[in-house]
Amino acid sequence: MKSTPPEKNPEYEPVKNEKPIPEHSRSRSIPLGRVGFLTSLDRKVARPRKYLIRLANLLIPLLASLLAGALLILASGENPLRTYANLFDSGFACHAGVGRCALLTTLQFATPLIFSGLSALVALQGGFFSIGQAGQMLFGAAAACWVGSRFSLGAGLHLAAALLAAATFGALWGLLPALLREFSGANEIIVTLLLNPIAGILTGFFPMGRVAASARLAPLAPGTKLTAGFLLAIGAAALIYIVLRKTRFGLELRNAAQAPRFAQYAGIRPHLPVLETMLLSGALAGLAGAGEVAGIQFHLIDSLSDGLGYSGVIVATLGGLNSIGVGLAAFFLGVIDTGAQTLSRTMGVPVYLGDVVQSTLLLVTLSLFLLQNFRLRRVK
Amino acid sequence: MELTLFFVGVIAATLRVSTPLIFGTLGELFAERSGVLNLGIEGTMFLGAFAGFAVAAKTGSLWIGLLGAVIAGVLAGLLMALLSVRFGVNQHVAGLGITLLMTGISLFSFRVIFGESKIQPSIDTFPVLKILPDSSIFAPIVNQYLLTYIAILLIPLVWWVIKKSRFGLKVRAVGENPEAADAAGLNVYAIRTWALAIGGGLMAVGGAFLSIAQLGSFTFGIVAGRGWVCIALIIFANWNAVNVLWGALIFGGVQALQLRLQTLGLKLPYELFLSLPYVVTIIALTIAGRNATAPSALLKPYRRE
Repeated sequence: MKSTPPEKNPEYEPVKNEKPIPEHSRSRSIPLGRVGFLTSLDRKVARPRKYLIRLANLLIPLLASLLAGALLILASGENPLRTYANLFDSGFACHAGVGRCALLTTLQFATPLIFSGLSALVALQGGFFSIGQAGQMLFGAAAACWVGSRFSLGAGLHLAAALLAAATFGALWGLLPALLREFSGANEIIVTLLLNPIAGILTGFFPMGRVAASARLAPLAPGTKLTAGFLLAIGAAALIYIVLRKTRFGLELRNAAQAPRFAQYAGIRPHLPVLETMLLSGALAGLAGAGEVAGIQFHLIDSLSDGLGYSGVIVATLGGLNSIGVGLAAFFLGVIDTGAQTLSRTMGVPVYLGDVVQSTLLLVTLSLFLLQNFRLRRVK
Repeated sequence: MELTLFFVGVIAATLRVSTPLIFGTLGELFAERSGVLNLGIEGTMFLGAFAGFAVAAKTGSLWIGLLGAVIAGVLAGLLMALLSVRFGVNQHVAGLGITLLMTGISLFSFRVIFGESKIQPSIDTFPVLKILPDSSIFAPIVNQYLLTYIAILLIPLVWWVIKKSRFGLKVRAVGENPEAADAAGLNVYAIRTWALAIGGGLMAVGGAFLSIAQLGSFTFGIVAGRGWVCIALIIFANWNAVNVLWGALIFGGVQALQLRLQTLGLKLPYELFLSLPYVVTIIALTIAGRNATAPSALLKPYRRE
């Protein structure tokens, strides 16, 4: 398989115009073939102000995904409006009393999403299209479980060792596809995809037990599963923001991804930024796994990464490829997850509603991004 | 005698295990040959398994169920085409999105239609063909599901379509060099859309085989990563329909053997066998690297200037 050098890859790159075109008419066109139903988009629209576009970028996918969900809710024989009111109520609501604050559950669900979203974000910013967060997460979880159950250390030290082990194993598992791409040209999308099931199989061989109390993440509120892992995730998001935007490393990483030849002339060693990118990306995904094992499950379960497997890419994409966006997107997906779980308990609406709403959100967001930069045109 | 029985059992199981893989891989072959990596395969197979089961259960006809699966798969392929061909969205993110969407829709609809009962709803499956009488020692090998025979017959057919037919030539042209194909007057978008639709239909049949032929029920883990195995097999098969057969049979064989040895009580690290197709593919990718014969335009959205 041919690996596309980053400068040729049209994905995740801003659209470049060959010659300066006035701001209001900046658009290219995609001929649509004979797709009659899309001809209404065949107008050249003057670009409205930027914040309007941003608002539309948020609202249109949101409305579309809620609409898709509404169709399913109707099919299941419930009232969509009432169901949605319940969904958001059970995602945000916070009543006094132990275990009655849904917002805390939302933050709990958001924690691994933040980590895996940051992991995907770092990889994408470094020009590495990794979808291997699930495998790196499993390795992180297995390592945290191994250290947490097979060693005994002092309270603080034990937890730190478990987290460090998780980050290390995640990073090493992330490094593997980077080495394969850089030195043999193997396509990273396929390699990271296939490394996920391998990780699932290999982690089964870790000697495992129950995570000792000294290696557990402390809950932030009694009676909830929201742990200090959430604070770590927020810290990681802030750190990644600074690293990507403000440090020399971040600059080199983005340069190497977007303008490899320039990076070479600027004296940045080839390969190195990509390897560093994937070490960082893998470590973040590993911490996502550690947070689940050391904070919630306390032992390794096969289905750990089931619902979270490919969420990293989704969160990073929805978050507009920046750390703050990742945090917001993770929070929002957390609301949907919590709401969907509560709904299935209380109203009998299948919990998979959440998946449908999230994936529609992703697909519409992606399409919208493309539609803004390219004008649709009908061809004969 | 014992040994013969053992091997007959393994070969029969191999053919059974390979069937959904052949359908899935041939479906992915159409997509990739036209230049689109369809990671929606896992979800499309899942949707096929669900649609086949649900329609068969509600209409009482397995054939209508199969048709339902094909239609659902074609629709999933068309959605992928809308996103990745018409809009030019990143193929891998769109594919993962489709997988999530199709899995979600299937599971949601399954709960709505069949409720949340403790007993797994089930249907009578397609019977195996009675070609040889049961007394014959080779009966388990020859008496397979009709869909298994269709899968095997599809291989030369797909090979012919892709290598020899006009349509196949167009598919290969837009997969190798869409700019040149466009200049030659081909409609790149339409051809890729067709390829994805056909591919989606084939993938869905692979999924439906599991629910309406092999198991007779629909479960959460019914596809269990077979879609990703197909992605691996296509590289293993070097984008050639005939090699798909060997790839699917080798993987199916390893799994069948592993299951048999397990029932005999042999302690084997069978998990390692399960990882074989993935490991072999990664090694193949690593060795072939940039020289692999993947369609040149794979993963590149085409935009007409």
